[in-house]
Amino acid sequence: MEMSGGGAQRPAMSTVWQAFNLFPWLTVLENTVFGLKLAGVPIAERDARARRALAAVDLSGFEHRFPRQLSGGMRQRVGLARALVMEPEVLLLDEPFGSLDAQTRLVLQEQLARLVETSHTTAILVTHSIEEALLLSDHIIVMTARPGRVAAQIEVTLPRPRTLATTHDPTYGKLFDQIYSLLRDEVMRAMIIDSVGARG
Amino acid sequence: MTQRPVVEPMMDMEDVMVPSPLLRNDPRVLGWGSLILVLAAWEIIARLTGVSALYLPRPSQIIETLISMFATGGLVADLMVTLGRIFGGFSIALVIGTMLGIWIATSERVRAIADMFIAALYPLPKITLIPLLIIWLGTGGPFMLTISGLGAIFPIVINTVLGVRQCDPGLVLAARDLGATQQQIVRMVLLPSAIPSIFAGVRLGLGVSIILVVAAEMVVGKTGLGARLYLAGQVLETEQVFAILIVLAALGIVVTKVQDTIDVWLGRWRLD
Repeated sequence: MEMSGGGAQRPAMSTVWQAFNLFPWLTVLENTVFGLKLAGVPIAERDARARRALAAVDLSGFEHRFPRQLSGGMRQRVGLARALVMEPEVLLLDEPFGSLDAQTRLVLQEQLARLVETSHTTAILVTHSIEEALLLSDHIIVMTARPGRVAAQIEVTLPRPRTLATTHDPTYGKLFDQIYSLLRDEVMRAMIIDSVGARG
Repeated sequence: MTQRPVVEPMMDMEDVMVPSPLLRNDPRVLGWGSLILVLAAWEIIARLTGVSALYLPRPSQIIETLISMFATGGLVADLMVTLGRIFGGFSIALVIGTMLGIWIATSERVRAIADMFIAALYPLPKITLIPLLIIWLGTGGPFMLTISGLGAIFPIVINTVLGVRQCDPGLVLAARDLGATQQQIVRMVLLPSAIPSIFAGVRLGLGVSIILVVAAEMVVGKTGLGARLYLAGQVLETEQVFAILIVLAALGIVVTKVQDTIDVWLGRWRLD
C-alpha cells in the first residue's frame, strides 16, 4: 500500500474500535456522516459520500436503522464506513473484530481486505490473532508485552487476494510458526513477571 | 363439544364469564367505565340522601358549574395565567438546569462546589421558601416564575449530571477521533446521550412546578387556578371548588400523556 499525498480535508487518522462506539441515538447514515458534518462538508456531498461508503460495506438499505437494530457484524461495518468515509491518511483498526463471532469475523476480514486494497488508505491493524494479521497485512510488527517494544518486523509475501485457502500455503505456515514462537516467549516472560509481581 | 381439550387458554374462560363485548379487558373501557360508574353512584346517592350541595354537590351540578365558569366566569383566563407561570418558570429551569448539569458533570471542581449546595437545598421543601421569596420579589410575576423554576431545577440538574456521567467514554473517544472539539463533544455526544435521563428529571421537575405554582397562588395569588380555588373555598362555593379540582386533574392527565408520548419518541433508538 502506498501513502498518499492527501488533500486539505483528509484527517491524518480515523479509528475503527473494538467496541464499535457507534452513537446509539443516530441512525446508520447519521453515524456515517458524523465526521464529515464536523469537517463542514456540505450536506449533499456528505450524504453522497456516506451512502457510497455504506454501499462499500454492503449496508445499502439500512441507512435509517438505529445501531440497536443491527447485528454485531453489521454494526462494525457501520464503524468501518464511518472511518473510511473520512478518507483518512491512516486507518487505525483497534482489534476491530475482537467482539465478533468467528464466522462473522472471517467474512468481515475478507471485506476489509478488499476495501483496503481499493481505497488509497494505509491501514494499521492491532490484533491478537496471528491468522488475521497474516491474511490482512503486508507488514507485521510483533510487539513485546511489557514494556511494549518492537520484537520483530516481518514482511508478508503471500499473494493477494488472500482467502482461507491461503492458510494452506507453506509460506503461511512458516510465518505463523515464526510469529507464534516470538509471541509464546513473550507471553511466558509476561506470566513470570506477573507471578513475581503477585508474590511481591 | 365434549371433544374439547381439558386445558383451556385463559382468554376462553374470561370470554365465557364476561357476557358483554363492551366489558372486555380493554384498559380504556375498564378505566372510563369504572370512573362513570363511580360518578353515577355519587349522583344517585347524593340525590337519594339529599345531602346539601354545600358539602357534596352532585356531579351534574359540578359539570354545570364547570361549563358556566368556562363560558362566563373567566376560568380560561385563570387557566392560562397558571399555565404561563408553570411553563414559564419550568422553561427557565430547563435551560439553566441542563447547562448547569453539564457544567457540573464535566468539571471536577464545579462538581465539588455544586455538590454542597445541592445537598443543602435539594431536600429543603421549596414551599418553605415562599415567605422569603415574597419578601424579596413581592407576589407578582417574578415571584411566580421563581417558585416554579425552583421546583423544577433540582431534579433537572441532578438528572443531567447523572446522564452526562453515564455517557459511554468510548463515544467521546470516537467523536474526538472524528474531529470533534470539546464544545462539539458536549453538544453532539454528552447532551444527546443524557437526554433520556434529563427527561426523567423534566418529569419530576414539572410535577413539582405545578404543585408549587398552585400552592403559591393559593397563598398570595389574585389570579390563577390556585387563587380561584382558595377564593371559592372561602365563600363556600363547593361546586366551584370541585370544578377547579377537575381542571387541575385534567391538566395532570394531559401533562402525563404528553410526557409519555415524548418518552416513547425519545426512546426509539433504545428499542430493538
